[in-house]
Amino acid sequence: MTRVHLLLRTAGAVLSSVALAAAGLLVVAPSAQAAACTSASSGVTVVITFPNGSTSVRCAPGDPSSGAAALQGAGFSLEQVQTMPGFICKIDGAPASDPCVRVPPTSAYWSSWYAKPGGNWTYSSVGAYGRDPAPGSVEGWSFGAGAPPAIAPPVINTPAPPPPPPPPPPSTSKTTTPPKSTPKPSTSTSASKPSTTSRTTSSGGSGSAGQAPASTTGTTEASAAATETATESATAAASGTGSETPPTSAMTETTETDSVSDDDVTAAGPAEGGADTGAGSSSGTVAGVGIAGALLAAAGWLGWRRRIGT
Amino acid sequence: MAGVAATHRNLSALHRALGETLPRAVHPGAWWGWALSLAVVASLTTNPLIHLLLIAVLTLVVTARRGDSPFARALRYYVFLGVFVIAVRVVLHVLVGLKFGSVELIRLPTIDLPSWAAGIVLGGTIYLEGLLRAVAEGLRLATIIICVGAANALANPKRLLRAFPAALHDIGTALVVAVSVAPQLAESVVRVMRARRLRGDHRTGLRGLKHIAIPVLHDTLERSIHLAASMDSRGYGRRDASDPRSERVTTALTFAGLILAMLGLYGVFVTVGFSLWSWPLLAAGLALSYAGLRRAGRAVRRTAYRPDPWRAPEWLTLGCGLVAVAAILLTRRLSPEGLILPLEPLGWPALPLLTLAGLLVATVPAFLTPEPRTSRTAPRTREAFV
Repeated sequence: MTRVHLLLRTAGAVLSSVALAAAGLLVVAPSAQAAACTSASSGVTVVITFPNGSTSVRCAPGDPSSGAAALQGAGFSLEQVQTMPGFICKIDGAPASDPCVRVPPTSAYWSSWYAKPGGNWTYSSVGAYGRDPAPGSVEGWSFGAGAPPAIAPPVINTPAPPPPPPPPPPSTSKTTTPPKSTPKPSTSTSASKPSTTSRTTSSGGSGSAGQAPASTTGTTEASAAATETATESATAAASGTGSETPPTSAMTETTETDSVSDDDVTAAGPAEGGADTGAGSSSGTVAGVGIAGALLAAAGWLGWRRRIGT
Repeated sequence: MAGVAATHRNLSALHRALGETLPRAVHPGAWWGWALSLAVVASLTTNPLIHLLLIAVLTLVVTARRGDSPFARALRYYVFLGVFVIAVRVVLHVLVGLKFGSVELIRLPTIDLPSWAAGIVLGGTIYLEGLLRAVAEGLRLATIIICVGAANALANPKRLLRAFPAALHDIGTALVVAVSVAPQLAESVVRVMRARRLRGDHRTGLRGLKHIAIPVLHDTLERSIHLAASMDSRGYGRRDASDPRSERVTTALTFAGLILAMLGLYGVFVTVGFSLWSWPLLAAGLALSYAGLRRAGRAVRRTAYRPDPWRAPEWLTLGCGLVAVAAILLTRRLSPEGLILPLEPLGWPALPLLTLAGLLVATVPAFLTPEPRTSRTAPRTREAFV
């Protein structure tokens, strides 16, 4: 199951990067297209500066209910500090060195910022789950000692004519909403839906458990995590084909072409490792409960013996 | 039965090896050290499995080694308090907690608060992950409370008072009175209810409450006054006549020392500002406080009748608690993911073997300490209540 899933993802990623590369050959400016949201109502733009210095810009479609939902809606995976609920510890598995058990130091943590498009970054006074970003605004995350993201909040570049969509995926870039996915995702949905259910009920130690949150969206439908990954790759491919139409913008961030495919592959890697080590098997739990029961039984026996006074 | 007898013989041999054959109360400080070590273990993990094991260990040791005093029956009330804590934690999670996760349980409406209360959201959809985390954190606090309850049940707090250093005697008296309020109240309730039942009064609920609360409060107040009077007649709280100037010096020393120690501790734990200065500050503060307490201790003169000895079983008890702490610290260094309840992704809690070994070592005092003096083990003389 996992293999199939991974294979699908990598296939999608490869496909999208190939498509984007082809688009890059066709069009003058290669990237910058899959970046910010294309209109104020289409979603929340998410800007993330990673620990390695690279910055990635994506669009979370719709109206996410919280900053964390916006992050997940933009396709980033989240991990919280285990002993401090709500504290974002990792975004897309970075920084990889943090075990996420205790709160990270003030010199190396994910700081949350928000801004109007083209405005200035403002340090958020509430956490990722606390603020409800309005559609059209910009969410920023930056790793370090509390410095703002490396680039200014991007301007929403509305394409003057609504881009005529030639292929089946309707709108231009990543602003496609999940339900509108094309035939391709439907197969992967059926393939991977059992994996999410098995995670919740029997919680298998399988690696698929680690992948699911990586691909969960912030949209209110908690279903079909895998649809998203498929949608993502599909839309990435779509954006590759559709990128002939919109005018190029002078974005300064790193090329999204690479980051989409790379992120997908790398995010799958560490998440799986974490699932293997983090979620213990149920046998350990059963053994622990058994030992606790044995100790309690011994206590009961001692108490009983004491009461009857032998 | 033969096996039981053999075990008993072996245990007696071990007791003789430790030099303890007669039943006696283990030093209260040892029990408190042991129980507080286990509380440290509990505070270092959110793994509910470890907490369950801890509660089992505490129950076993308390059942095996508690005495006859009313405090010895206190553990169950602490367990009730722990259950209450978990319930409150869950209710708070539903009301204002951080809702996260992917397995949806109940969908509740959200109430938005004005901007001055930013970050607080009332209601909202409840997910399984967030609820489990709330339960796990409630369980952690409950375990710590049960640790204190176990110490209370194993070591008579009034005996602990005798072991306090002279300078801390006044603080110790206040602490002991505070700690013993809950079990005394509970005992009062039981007694008043029994008296009512004997008189054929079976009212329950709110009407019954009125008839219980007033006698209980009356009883508690009366007992406090009795306790104060008896302590006064035994010379508690009396000091040598000393000149006010030296007392002022003592106060200044203690106060300055405590402030310095606090600043030092802040520096040690925060490590942002004056990290270079924190350790010397802490050391100076502790030294100053020690000097102040020494001076204060000279003014208090007291003696103890039949002081509790500190021998091999005391070291053993304390050592077992410290072994458990060392085991969990080592686990945290080696494989910290075993100390958490895996929530994202949701999974079964792991059973870290090292921590388990430490907890099993912590059960050793249940068998290798001398039995407490009870009406059963010491039939001729009942130990006087301090």
